[in-house]
Amino acid sequence: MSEAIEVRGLGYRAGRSFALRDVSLTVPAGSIYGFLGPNGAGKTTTIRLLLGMSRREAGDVRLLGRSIPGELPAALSVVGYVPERPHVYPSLRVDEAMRCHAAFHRRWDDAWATRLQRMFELPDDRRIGRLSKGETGKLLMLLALAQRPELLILDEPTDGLDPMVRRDVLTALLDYVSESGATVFISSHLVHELERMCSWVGVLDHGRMVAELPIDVLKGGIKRIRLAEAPSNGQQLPFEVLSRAQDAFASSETWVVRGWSDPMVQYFDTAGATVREVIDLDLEEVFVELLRSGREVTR
Amino acid sequence: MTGAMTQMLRLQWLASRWLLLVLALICIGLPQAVVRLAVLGAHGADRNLIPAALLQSLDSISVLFPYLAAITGALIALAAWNWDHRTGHVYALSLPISRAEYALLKLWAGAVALLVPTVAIWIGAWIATSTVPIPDGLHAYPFAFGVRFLLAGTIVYGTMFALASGTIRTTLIVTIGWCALFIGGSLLVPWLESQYAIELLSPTEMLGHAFAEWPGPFRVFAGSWLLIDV
Amino acid sequence: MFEEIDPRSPIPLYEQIAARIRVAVAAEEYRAGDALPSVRQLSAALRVNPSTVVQAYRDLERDGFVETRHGAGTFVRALEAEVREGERARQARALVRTLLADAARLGIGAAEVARALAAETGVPTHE
Repeated sequence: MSEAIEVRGLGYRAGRSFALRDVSLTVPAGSIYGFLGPNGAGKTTTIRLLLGMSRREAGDVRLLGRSIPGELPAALSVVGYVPERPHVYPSLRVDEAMRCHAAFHRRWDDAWATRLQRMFELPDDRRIGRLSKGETGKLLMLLALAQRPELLILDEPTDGLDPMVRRDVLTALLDYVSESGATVFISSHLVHELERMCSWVGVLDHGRMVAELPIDVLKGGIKRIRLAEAPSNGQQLPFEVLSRAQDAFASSETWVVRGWSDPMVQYFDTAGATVREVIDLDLEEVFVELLRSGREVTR
Repeated sequence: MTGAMTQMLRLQWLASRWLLLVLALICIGLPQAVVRLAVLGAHGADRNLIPAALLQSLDSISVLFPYLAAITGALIALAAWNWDHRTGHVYALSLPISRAEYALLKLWAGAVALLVPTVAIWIGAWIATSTVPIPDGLHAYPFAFGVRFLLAGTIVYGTMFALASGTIRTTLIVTIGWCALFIGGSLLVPWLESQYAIELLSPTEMLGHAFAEWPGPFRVFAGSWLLIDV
Repeated sequence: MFEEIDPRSPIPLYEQIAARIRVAVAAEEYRAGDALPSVRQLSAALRVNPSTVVQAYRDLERDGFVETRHGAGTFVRALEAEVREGERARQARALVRTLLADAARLGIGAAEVARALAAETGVPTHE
């Protein structure tokens, strides 16, 4: 099986305003897939539906080849989950929580759990409810990793954590991934952090998938073009224009285009425009441009 | 015993150990209080214990025991689900076992916890009946008493467990639904009876028959809770 | 050593990593026989996808800078002097290309850059 997660046409509604519509995504096995989207887009809901915690209204979900919810226990035995808010019982101590998790997960690696615990500096006798945000984040990652999953589903695992803790958590994650070849599905709105690690990116906005591409293709295909004597609209374009705006301090326009490749400069030459600059965007800028243009289209 | 079963026991213990301690203390103490109070009110003019009087006073005070059994069962059931309710069930849902299996494991753990107050009441009953002079013709039944307590507690435990296993919303819906059925039936039946000149059982009677008469499960509550009897 | 790795740069991460190692080998920071960090160590340390490191090492091996010994790790190979010099020359030109591109963006021509270079380094350039 080459897909760790397969979702087709996922549909869900909650209340009058929130809905997931026709959400499809494919996470290749062994990849690190970044699930991006603004707050309220539906990322956490999608993840809950993936894990069979809420009942979907439409669509198919398969985790590691197993259908959800039909083969849910079998799937969950090899899936490590870090939720957005801590799910472990606050009255348990750290060592009790680890023992509890170990009892339910057959592949639990006790030696490694102890090493992680030492690395994360989590004291045995502290109650989970009394841990700091950073310590809780580390504990949740520890629990998910020490059960040696084939697939990790992480919902904003580093949100609200300070840079040092974020580093520790991600280092442990990548260490595990390189050793085990596990797949990672990680949602975050900290785009810069994901940029280093992800091989695939899926973008969700207002309950709909806006883009799903390998990260190089996504970044490579979206550029900012600074143009002099920009042509007016109405022409056959070999690329998609996400936005265009007059530059504030120069007599040029800046276009944000999608699907760009360098030979397309020709198009501007024939249209009588001059390409002053072709600027690469980092993932966060790509993300912002995609969302902005997407919302303008739907308005 | 599997690791999961042990772990669930441990969780149940951690979630309810203070409750169990308090219940155990009450279970040991209450029989002492009840028996001694009953004895106090059963002395005749010559400072002798009158058997009939003893039975009578015991009977009236012993009504506390079925309540204690019910409360014990209910509280242990609630304690079993308390942590899950507080955290929105997310951890349980993330575990690689079916929801039915999880509920069964919890049911088992709570049932074992129920043994603590049961043993306590056995001890309490035994101490109470052996430290008090029992007049001729009467016998102490601490063992039967304990069994009745366990049975009653288990029944309430099971019912409460089922109610508490859902979300607060489902629990409310089930409870309201039952009440509506009950009240509706209580209003409907007399009207039907008067309209069609037939004799129907009112819902109260139906409930009473179903649950409180043998072999109804709640029969155990209606029976004798006398520690000392003929 | 890898502090300049920039995920926001248009150059893919694996290329940046490979380039950095190439420079290090050419400048003899890494000597023949030295072991490169393991894929696991480097990916965790840089917080990048392990496949990125794998790709970088593979490219380096293809270009003859390193060799992977199964089970032991990846090791630097001995380079002939001319290969090393060729690599350094290539790196220098890449740096100059970036400099010229940055300058052009500011409207500064190549000749002006060459003059500035001469002034800074004291090495005269041909005009």
